[in-house]
Amino acid sequence: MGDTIASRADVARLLGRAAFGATAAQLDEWEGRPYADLVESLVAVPTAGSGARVLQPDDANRLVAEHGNNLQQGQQFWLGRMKTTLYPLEERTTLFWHDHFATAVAGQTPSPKLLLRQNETMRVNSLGSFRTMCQQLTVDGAMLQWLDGNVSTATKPNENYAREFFELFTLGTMPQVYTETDIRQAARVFTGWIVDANTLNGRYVTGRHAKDTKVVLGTTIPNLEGEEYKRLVDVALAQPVASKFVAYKLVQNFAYAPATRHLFDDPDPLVDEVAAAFVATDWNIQSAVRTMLLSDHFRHADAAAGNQLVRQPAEIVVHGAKATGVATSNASLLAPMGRCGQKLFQPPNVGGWPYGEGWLSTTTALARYSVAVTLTNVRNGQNVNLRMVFPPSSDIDSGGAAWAAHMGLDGLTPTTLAALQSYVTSRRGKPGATEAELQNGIFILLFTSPDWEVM
Amino acid sequence: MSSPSGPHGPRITRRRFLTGTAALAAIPTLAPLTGRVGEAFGITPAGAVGRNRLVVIFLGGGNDGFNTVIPMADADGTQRWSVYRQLRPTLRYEPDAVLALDRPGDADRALGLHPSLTRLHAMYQDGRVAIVQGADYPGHSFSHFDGTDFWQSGQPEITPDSGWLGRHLDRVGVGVGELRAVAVGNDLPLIFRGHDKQGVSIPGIPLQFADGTAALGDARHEALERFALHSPDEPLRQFEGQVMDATVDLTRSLELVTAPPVTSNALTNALLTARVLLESEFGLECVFVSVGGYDTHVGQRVLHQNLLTSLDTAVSTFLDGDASLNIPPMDPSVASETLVMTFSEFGRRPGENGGAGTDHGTAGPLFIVGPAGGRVVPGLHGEHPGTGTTLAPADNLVPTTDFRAVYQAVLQEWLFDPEPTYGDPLPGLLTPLPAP
Repeated sequence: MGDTIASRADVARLLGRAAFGATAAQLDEWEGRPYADLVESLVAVPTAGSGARVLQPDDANRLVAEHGNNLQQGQQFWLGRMKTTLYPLEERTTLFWHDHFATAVAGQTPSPKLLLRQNETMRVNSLGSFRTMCQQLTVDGAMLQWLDGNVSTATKPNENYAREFFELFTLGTMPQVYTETDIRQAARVFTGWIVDANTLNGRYVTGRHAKDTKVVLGTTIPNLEGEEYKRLVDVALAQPVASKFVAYKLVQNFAYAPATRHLFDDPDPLVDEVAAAFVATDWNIQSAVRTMLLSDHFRHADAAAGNQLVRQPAEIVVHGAKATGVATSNASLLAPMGRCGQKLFQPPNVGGWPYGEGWLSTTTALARYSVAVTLTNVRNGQNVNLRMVFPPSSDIDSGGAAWAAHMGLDGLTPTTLAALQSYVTSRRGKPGATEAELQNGIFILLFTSPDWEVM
Repeated sequence: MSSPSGPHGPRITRRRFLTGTAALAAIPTLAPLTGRVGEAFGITPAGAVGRNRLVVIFLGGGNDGFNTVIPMADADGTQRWSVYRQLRPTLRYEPDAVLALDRPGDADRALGLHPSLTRLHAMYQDGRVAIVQGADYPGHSFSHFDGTDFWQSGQPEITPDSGWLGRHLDRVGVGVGELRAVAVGNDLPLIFRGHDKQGVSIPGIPLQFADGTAALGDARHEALERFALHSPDEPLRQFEGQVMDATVDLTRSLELVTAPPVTSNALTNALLTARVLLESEFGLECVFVSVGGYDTHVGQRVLHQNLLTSLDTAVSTFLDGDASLNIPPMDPSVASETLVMTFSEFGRRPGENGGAGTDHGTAGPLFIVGPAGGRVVPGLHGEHPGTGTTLAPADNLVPTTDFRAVYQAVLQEWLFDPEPTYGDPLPGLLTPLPAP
């Protein structure tokens, strides 16, 4: 395209999809500046992938939740962090990895404490090396309990992790390049790991490990004891389909659901660009994400072909909190967000959450509406100085520019504006219809509008 | 532990919006509509046309069929009981614990139900239950997600893009004022997605917006309906708007429907929610509910007992009520039209793993439950899946029935679908209708 300057629409859509939504101030700040600078402001997370990170105020909340082994506190911590972080892309990619390597609290095996540790592992690696991420999660305490690695032994290997490692974490099934035999052999490679009762970390026990030589995906893997799983990660990531599959998942989560059903025969151009970045950088996630956000296929994706992003509940909750001045750590948001279909640390199964129109059902529509009502209720109950100031309802009569900016949009579509105008017109002047009530209604309608939910 | 609690997010269906109109199943559009919806619109009420109902229960995670319909002795010239004993050292049930299936014709099969299925067993003995054995499909997938998609699409040979009941909706159409297909749960499952029509999902009853239905809320909800007018140039946004519009219609329609009783069993509650709608004459034809937890890789014995107890309770309470909970039986006129069918994405491995559980396997049984004296032909249908011999036990059970033949029978002979597409129906599952 060659248009190096970010339009207001560019800012709204990039921050809407990769940073939990834009504020009016951000729209003003970045409009007219180089698009690449805006991308770099997101991607340049200090010390990304190095293991050492800038401490943020929320870290204390995470530790409180972890030590308390408390799921709700953990959910409040993370939602709060998504809103307050200096590095929203770090949280946005961490949310993606939580979906990709979906692990759920199941009583105490795994416990909230272990999920919060896993969450930190994902955050540290969120823009680092996918190879390191795979290695660390394979022997992660929560993962070992979730997919039964902790009960898989040489004499009785359990296939659960091996199957999902191929199908969901590294290779996918478009096409499927592994066999049932590969799964059974891989299960033997992964044997030997338990969750240490004291540290709750993964620990290798040589007596539980299958010591024979395995052949997986055509590669012979000798007995390497506690290092053997790393060899299998390498074997999987060396498959040509691996980079394309992980790229496909990134595109699906950040840009649009690619129509491709076969990553080689029916390729998607954005997926291929991102996959090439993985290959060129030995699986550096930061490079892959930067490539994705800079790509014209991301920036100018074809909406008419359905290439838009249906934002997941966490994204609209956090964005809505920005527009109301509500703290996302507020506990009252968790229940309606759960009814939207997304509870943090509780994905529905190892396949993670839905995507695309899978988020859009009559059930979840009611729940999204509940989130909006909750946000206005919490806002209105707060000290007036904490509330984000809503634009006047009269702005809707004159085109809605102020409301669009307030919601982090570059403008309203004609149908959404017409719907809002009909609301304001029909409600204004009726008994009890105060200006505040009209403003609440405008917020709720915008929150549930196509313009906001789909970007 | 990681079993699907419901269908995986739809992978495919976006294409529908690129090629066709995304018409939602038509939902009553004037408020309030209760009870005689059809009459309110001058349409023949659904009950009067003898519409049959189908209730599909998805057992998510892969139900262990080998411990659902259980061998009690070697029979039919096989060693299946001996193999069962051999491969299930800790998970097996001895013959004296199994609920023997001994209707006429069953005796020499030497098969029984899991001990937790007491009420289903009683229904079976009463002649209300058909059990289809060994159901599977060629090219079986051991993946939860592919398996779930294939069973819901009914098209295991292609990448699924619609559901077998969604395409039924496409073929039969949806009349004004009808609520023809409802999933109780969070999302709209693939099974109800057609190319032109689709069902709706509801979380439960009562169903209402968080700001109520007074003038304050009404003004907002009327605005939501206008989101459906969004330009087709952005098909995903248009769809979002259509869903908001449909949601408004749905809440208005269900405004005065009485909430069902709530029990301690989530599956029962979902079915009782559906029952309220079935009994309200919305024209409801197809219901889908799902339950997770069947992915018993570890500690299967207790987990599976609890799951099957829950299923047993839910189906029984749904159809026959529960006097101890003051829940009456289903309205007899509705019950006489209602067929309940279970499925799971796969069965499990015959051999135990090291965690007192089982890994992903193949063929499993389907339960089909109808009214006593109705058209369901009771008994065992199809052969028990092959187990091999004690010298060479099967690595995986060998399927005996293509599940699409069951779909064909249900579509053709129960839902009177004009042109279902699965070839020959499973013979003898339903008695033919008497000639007119």
